[in-house]
Amino acid sequence: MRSEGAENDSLGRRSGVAEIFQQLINALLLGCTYTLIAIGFNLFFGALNVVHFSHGDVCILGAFMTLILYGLAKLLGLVTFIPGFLFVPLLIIVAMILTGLIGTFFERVVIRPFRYAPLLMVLVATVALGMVVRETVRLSFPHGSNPQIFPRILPQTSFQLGGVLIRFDSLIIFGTTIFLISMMFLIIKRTRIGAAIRAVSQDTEAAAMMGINIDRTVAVTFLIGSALGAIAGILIGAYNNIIRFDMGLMGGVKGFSAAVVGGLGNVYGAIIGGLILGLVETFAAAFIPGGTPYTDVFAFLVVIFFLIFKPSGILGEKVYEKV
Amino acid sequence: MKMKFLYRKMVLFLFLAVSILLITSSGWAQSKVVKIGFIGPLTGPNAAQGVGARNAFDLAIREANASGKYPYKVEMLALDDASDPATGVAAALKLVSDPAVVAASGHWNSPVALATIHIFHTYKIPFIVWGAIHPDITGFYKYPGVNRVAPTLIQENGPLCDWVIGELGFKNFSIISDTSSYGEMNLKAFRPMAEGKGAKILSVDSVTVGTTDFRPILTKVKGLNPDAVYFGGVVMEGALIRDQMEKVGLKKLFFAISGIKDDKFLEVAGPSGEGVLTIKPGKPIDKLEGGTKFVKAYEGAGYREPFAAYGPNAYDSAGIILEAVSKTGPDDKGAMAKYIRGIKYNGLMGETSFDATGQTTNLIVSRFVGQGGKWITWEESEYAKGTRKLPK
Amino acid sequence: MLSRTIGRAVILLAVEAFFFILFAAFMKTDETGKVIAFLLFFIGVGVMFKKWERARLALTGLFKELKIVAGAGFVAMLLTLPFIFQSSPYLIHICVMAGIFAILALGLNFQLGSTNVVNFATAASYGIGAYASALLAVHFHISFWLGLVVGGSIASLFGLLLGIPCMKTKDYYLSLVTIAFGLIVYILLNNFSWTGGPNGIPNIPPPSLFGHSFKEPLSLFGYQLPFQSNYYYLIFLLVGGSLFVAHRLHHSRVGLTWNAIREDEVAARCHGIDVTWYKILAFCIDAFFGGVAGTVYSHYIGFISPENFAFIVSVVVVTMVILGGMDNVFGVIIGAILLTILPEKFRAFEDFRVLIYGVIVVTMLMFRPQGLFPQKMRIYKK
Repeated sequence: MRSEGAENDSLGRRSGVAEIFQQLINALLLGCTYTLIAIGFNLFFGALNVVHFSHGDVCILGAFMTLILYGLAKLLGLVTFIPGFLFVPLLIIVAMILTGLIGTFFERVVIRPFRYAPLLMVLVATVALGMVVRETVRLSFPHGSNPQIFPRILPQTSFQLGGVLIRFDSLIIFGTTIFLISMMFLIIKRTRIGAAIRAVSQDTEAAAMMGINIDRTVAVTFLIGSALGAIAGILIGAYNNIIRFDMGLMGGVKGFSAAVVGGLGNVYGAIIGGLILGLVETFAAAFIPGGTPYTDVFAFLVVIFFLIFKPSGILGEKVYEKV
Repeated sequence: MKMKFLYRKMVLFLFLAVSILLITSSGWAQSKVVKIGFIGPLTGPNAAQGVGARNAFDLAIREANASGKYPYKVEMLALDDASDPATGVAAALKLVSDPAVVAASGHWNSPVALATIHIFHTYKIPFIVWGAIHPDITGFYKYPGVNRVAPTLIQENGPLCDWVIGELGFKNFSIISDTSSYGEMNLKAFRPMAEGKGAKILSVDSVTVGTTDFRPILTKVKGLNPDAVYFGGVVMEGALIRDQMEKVGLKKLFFAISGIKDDKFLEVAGPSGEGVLTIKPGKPIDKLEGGTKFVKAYEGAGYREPFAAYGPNAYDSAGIILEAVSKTGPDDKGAMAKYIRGIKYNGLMGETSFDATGQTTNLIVSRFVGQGGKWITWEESEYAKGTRKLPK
Repeated sequence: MLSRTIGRAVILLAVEAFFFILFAAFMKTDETGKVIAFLLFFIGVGVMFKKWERARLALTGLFKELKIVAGAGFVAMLLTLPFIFQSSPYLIHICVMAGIFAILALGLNFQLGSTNVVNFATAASYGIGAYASALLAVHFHISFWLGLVVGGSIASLFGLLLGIPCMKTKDYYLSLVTIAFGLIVYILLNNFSWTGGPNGIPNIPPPSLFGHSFKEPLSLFGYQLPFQSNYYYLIFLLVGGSLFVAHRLHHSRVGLTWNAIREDEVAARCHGIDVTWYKILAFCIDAFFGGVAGTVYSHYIGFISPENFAFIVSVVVVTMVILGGMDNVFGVIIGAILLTILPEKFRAFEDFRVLIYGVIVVTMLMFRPQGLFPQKMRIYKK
């Protein structure tokens, strides 16, 4: 299939610069959806060296949680009790807490048993866990195989700036992404639990000897990571107005790719990685003739390129394997 | 010691007894029933279509048995193809391996049908396609035992072009289709037809099924300023594209063939579903002869799922097979196939007969427009009357 | 004592035949209730077998002692399967598919089992082999037999191309790359017009041997066997061959090196082993097996489309290896057979299939990571 160039005669006019800006915004937003998931991967892989391939699915699970809560609230008539502007944030907070707890549960049951086992086990186990989550979601919802409508919780209005159309929901998504990254940075660098996480990642035994409770640190990390992941899922749902049970697979792969390209171990890497993937996909769709069905291929080729030539990513530090 | 010995003997005896029971039991169930096979996507993303069709098929068979006038006791054997060719092939082989199966009907997905029709042809089981619309299924293979009650893409796109280009006067289009078999064939069918009618194609884009972000493409299309956007694909992507067209400011007409004619489309598209044009083969169910009777019978039978878009197709397929079996008997499959090919059947889809390739000659289509969150027949809509205006 | 040996051989064959008949009866059952009854029965036998020390030792000893008789008997019984199933092309079809997946599982076992490299791109090599041989057959009339080699080699080539850059990276990066690669191949197969796009490639010619086309029913000993039997015997030979290759590799220096890499990669490097080269070798051999399986599949069904090679297929093969037993060639074949036959028998639960696979993998890894049939310990004779 091709995307053919426009017959640019008397009919078409290409509004050149404005269109490019518009596409940049599209790229930025797409990148944000990947960044939001990448934050979690950065935390798990980069900070804790823990393999958690099912993080993408946990994020989407957060979005589905919100759907369930929304439906429940409607059913129980809670909508009348809680004032409108509080309803959505409350929904999100509850979904975050639930998803965080589920994430901790997964860690306890599926990941911790493999802490000292060969990497292969936890890798395959988390991929399989992701599958289990996806299928459970699919089977629990009526017509689960089909996309589910996500409530329009973000404002749908927009304004024009120059020739460029900017929507308020895009601003909110972008802002939240920046906010979450900053939150992550603050948590890791400025809090006690962040210090504990860094200690555990540098040298687990020494951290234990210093009195840090490894189990608890890891559990709290999963709590935070999964809760923030829920926000990721919710925003993705709000941006697309639908969620599908298997968004977690592609989302997880792309989110992990974004984290790797940006550089695991550096909190800002997630933004850079997400942006790069978003740019590659958007520009492949918009400007390469016939490129639309291959956007994923281009994105993955970029990822493979990085893995071969610069596996530490753009911002990452070189990792030496300790014997 | 003795107890242990006895215990062991008992276990061994039990073991032998159960084994013999299991071995011989597999030869037991032989009943003199006429079975008609049904294959469709009962699980997976198209399950709504497959299950609805299966229920309607089942209804037809139940009605035949209940009427007391049908010469045989008929049973439906429904198998799942999960929209997957490999599963479909296994299901088809299962059907042909069962000597009680006399005929079958199947498939919503064209790749699955393209894989299984060879099996039904090789084992000479008459097969009616109720949903898959790839032209090659009948047009290329021309198997005498394979017929299709659903019109092909070509038979759908033609009337759509006549309507949108000829009657409504839209001339410049951007095409977006998906990369599935359905989308690809739609593109191949629509483009030459539209250009043949004097339309101009400004751009062609293909999207992968499952994509959720169409903003890059739509922003690009916006810059080309078409009159309308033609979509060759199904409900979800169509609805998202329509919604995102509004979001990027591309406020133009959106039209497609029956792939999007589903209430879910309007639900997902929301307010942007206003003024979307589509067509669907056949007449609306309430305008059909026997249509209201069918709807009542279906509700009365207590199926959990609605009969969906292809329920009438499956119902008619069952009816055709039942008539053929009663006229030629269940044993002569060749005569059965000949009978089906030459049939003139009056059913929910109107009058169905098949041409030399097995394709239905029934080309009635209905036009629909999205209005107020519902699909309204064009002729009855406010758009046709002029009180509402399509995006221009 | 010849008569005594003959007596024991007869007992051995009788036991084998008995279970074989049970298996054939199981295959023929249709109703879910009876299927469950059979399965409970088999599980019960297995449990009793474990508990009943004397009987178990006696039987396994018998098998070990008369290995050749046992093997020959087993092979003979398998050869008679098409005769037993001659009224049902469906059952023979399941056996052929089980064989194809057995080859895939054996291939993956080199990476997942012997070297502990996680490869989620099995579907990609399967698909590349299938498409390569199909395109060659349809456009250039290359025969199936040549296609086997070519399909396997082209898939292997991709294995090489993918393996070289990846082997230098960390383990979980590699897995990510294999997942991405599998997804890329699927998208490309779906979108290139020369691969037939989403409609795939139809009308792939069946193989023929000495003038007998595999599409024709097979007449043997006065019986007309459905045409699937041709493929059954073919796959029987191929699985046998693959088994032989896998077994020999496992017991060679290569297999030992792979296991050494699995145990401790750094120590292996210190021993002078070129870890990257051996990992790539495993990748290429895995891909070759995948390509061969793909070639058989494409010529058997006669029609392939990208749907046949989606990501889920890779997951299924991984499940087969983990269930059967990593690095145990017989185990993975059993895993392949189980996971091909059982989903067909439990068609009522088709919706839960993927969920069950995921649960199987997680539970196996948690409670019995060696699989149903653990790898045999290497014994070093003094």
